[in-house]
Amino acid sequence: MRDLEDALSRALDRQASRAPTAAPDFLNQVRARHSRRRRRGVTVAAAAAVAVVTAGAALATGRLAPPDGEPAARPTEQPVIDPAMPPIEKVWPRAVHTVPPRLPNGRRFDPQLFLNDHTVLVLTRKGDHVDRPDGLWAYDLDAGRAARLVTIEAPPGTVVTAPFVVAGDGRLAWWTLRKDGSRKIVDIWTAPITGGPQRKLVSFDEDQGIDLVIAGRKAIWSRWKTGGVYQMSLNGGRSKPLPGTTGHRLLDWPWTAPYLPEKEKNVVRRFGTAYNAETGERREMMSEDRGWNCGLTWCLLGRSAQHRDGSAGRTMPGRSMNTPALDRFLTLFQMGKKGLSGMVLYDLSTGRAGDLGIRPTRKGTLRGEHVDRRATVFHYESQGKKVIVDLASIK
Amino acid sequence: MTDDPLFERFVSDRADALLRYGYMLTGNPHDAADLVQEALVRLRGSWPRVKRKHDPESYVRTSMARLHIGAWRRRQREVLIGDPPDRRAVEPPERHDDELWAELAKLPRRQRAVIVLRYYEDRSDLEISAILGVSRGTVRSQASRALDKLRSSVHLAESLL
Repeated sequence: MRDLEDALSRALDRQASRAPTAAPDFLNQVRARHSRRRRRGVTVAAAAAVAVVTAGAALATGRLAPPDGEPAARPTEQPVIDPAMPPIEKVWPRAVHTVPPRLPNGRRFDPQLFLNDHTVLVLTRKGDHVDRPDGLWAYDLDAGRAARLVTIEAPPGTVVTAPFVVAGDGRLAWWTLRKDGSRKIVDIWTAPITGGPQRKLVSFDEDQGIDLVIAGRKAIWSRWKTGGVYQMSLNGGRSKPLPGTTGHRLLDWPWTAPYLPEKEKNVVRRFGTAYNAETGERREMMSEDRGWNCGLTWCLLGRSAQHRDGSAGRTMPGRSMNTPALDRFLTLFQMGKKGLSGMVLYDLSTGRAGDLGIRPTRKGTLRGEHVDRRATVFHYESQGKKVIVDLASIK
Repeated sequence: MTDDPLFERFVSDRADALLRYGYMLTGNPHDAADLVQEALVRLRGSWPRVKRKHDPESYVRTSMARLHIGAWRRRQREVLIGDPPDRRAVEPPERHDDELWAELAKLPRRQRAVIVLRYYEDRSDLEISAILGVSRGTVRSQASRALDKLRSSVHLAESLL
């Protein structure tokens, strides 16, 4: 009995992460539906009058007063129109690389991080299956050559794979999560950054996954399920929980913060008070308003951005959907006269924005491209090309 | 007439959470978006009253649950939805999640609503009876019928072993 109920509760929680999010013009859609409803109400009330009006019907109904005495059609709305931005490659010419969507050997790939200003570490997957990573390559963008650095083998039963490989101290690191009977186990793997075999650093029970960084000859990670930040020497040994980080996730190392599920009512979304695990410094959230999505420095809500303390407020040239990467970069949806018009990459620290060149389909939908907050690169495909942006190189 | 900034603020702040709730109730993103919009349009109509007397969030959630099990019918889809943020980082569904989800889709709407309120929203049977406007006995019998159906599903039984 309990098993089923537990399974239900867990399954519903996990399914919630697949739920849709509001489109940028969601509020406009509600407004439009509301005013259509009002107009329809009026039309019914004045059916006889409308029946004799043919041409200019809209004008005529517009003059009819609804029962509560308000005008039937509201004055023309002033939808927000976001300012057009120059193309991304014009804004950050040295950081933006446009390449074919496949490696010279014909394989699909995902950029992970830049090894130098013209070489990007990329990941390939067996059969392009998301949980079958099979290789890490150094892809020289100038020379158009890719050389294999690491042959990856994900263990049998792997069901989740790290969204990004991380680097530091001459090592690469990533993680996989596998099912073993009823247990779920995370393995952390490392390999030399110059190439070589993969080695398992540590394994532990974890239901969902982790966020991982390398800093100061240590692997440092936080657990998705329960939170909590742990560290371990890259040479091995035992992992240790970091004091003061119970329930926290990595934000921007050494900063961590409690992750607040939206299911809890009356909380600000995403990250709570940020905590510096090296110095003990804390950064509170600025206000009790709901809905702000706070990273380390910035809090975002729709088109608004401000620091955690409420200072440096500004309007962004589009609506945000995610937490910034490197504490500054995020993608924004832009609205034009006819609804969604495109997306830009936006830099909170300089206020610059570059157009991704993505346009909505005829139906007005747009495939969203998101900067992963853990990433140092941003990449997407557009018009048969892969665009790779080295975020970490942008001054 | 100008829009009420408080209403707009409410929609901007709570749209994603309401969409999640709608997704739980309906099982698919398009109906979820439609249901949320419908409930918000109705909330807009009663906004002056609701903002004075009630908590708009619980008003709109109750209205969504009732619309879903009641007279509300699938309308022409007119709703755009965004992509889940941080798509790569969403919590991984387990194998039997999908089976449970599929079995949930077969339940009558009222039973599904009870299950969602109980196991997703962590509501007590008393609260559920108030939200759905039915007796507590009905909540219990609907829940137990739904659980029986789910339990008797062969696939599910195997995957839970």
